[in-house]
Amino acid sequence: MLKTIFHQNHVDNSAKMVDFAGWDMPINYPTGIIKEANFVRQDSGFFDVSHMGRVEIFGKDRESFIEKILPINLESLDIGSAKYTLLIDENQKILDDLIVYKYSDHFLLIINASNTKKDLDWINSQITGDTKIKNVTSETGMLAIQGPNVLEKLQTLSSSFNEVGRYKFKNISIEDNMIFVARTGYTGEDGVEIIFDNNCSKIIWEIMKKLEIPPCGLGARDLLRIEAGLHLYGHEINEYSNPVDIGLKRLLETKSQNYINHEYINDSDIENGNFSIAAFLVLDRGIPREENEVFYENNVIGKITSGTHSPTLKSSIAIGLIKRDFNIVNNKVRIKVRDKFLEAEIRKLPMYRRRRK
Amino acid sequence: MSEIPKSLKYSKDHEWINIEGNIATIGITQHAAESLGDIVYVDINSIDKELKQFDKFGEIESVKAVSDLYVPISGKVVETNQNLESNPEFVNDDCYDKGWIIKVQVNDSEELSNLLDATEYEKII
Repeated sequence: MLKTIFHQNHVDNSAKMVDFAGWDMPINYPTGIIKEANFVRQDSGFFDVSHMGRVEIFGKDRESFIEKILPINLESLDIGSAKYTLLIDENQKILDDLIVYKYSDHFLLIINASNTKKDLDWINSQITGDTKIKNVTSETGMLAIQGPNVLEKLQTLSSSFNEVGRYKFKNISIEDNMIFVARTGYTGEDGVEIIFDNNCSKIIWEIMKKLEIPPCGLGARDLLRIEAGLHLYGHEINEYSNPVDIGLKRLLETKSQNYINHEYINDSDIENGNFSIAAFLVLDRGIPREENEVFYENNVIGKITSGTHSPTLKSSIAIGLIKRDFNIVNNKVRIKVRDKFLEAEIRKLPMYRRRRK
Repeated sequence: MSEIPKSLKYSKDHEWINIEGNIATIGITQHAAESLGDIVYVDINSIDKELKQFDKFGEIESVKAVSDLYVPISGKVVETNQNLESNPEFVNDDCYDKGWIIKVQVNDSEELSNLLDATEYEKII
């Protein structure tokens, strides 16, 4: 099984380890998922996300290559900025959702661990002109540091943390090590994601300890992203998703004829999605799980894609894909969980939104 | 290493049982609680019912998983731990005391011989 640079730290901290896309990863520490999620909502926490794929794109023709493979409007992506986007192949299959970062001399893509091989195979198959692809996943470590007090804590290391705007990134020197810092995240809280050479990992772990930012597992990360209504590939998004149905039409922003799916994204057929993503607040006791059917009166109107128990909302919650006509806030539905039906109410997505400072 | 009190008996399904007089107190072991992770619901649908040894008496659900609960001895379910409705985390924090789940009026304590002692239980986890 693959191990991140922090693997021994997880084991030393008695984390419960699970196989995640071939990586041996911590699902939670002895603290438990709920307390770890509360740390992030109320103060701070960090996640080892070194398993996520990190791919650099160099070369003289890198701009036209990015324009060919991603549906972004390149003109609106400045150096030092990042964008959330989709990787869609020439058959209109959604291969992944990812974040693209623009440097002065290259692009960085951060992709899902479960899709790294598939994405790289396809990206490599599309290479044109002077374009070089470099997978730096195993040479670097990556942490997501999230929570309302994270920026304040990190500013005690360097005042430069204050200068990184939302969806911006810059290199910051910490104890003489250059570290990539992006103001992005996947929890619904403010915070940063950092990338650094493997040989900095010891210093970074010590800094987290010193700043009293506790390690949190992937279980808490999943809970937090469901509260924040964020998609996870393999759940809300898959190869055959219609971008309109899953609420991501806005990502198809390019007008470039150079984009591989230029015709597809400008075709009016793409508007005709029948489903949409819904958020559910569960009124009964029990957690809806992926694939559970959603009923309106006696008819199946869709399926659950993710479910959890929300300590923030003090109730079970879920996300699902249901027929658009029924996706009306306050509509009462029933979710079939094993042999019983749970009453639930449709809520506005996301169910958790942080208060801005 | 999880705690396995010597004074209790155990089922292969990771329930513990403690008999005083003709009343058995039943819960899940620390090993089971740790494997499930943070417990958020304990649902008992068998109050006042006569159950046979190893019948299902309820369900326990954590953030990540749900598991059936089996009664380790025959008898009538006479009480459930009401505190677990608002504090299901008692099962994670203190499974052998505050986190007990049901009490059963025992008919036949001979059935205890179908269960494991602490040493035997330790070998199966």
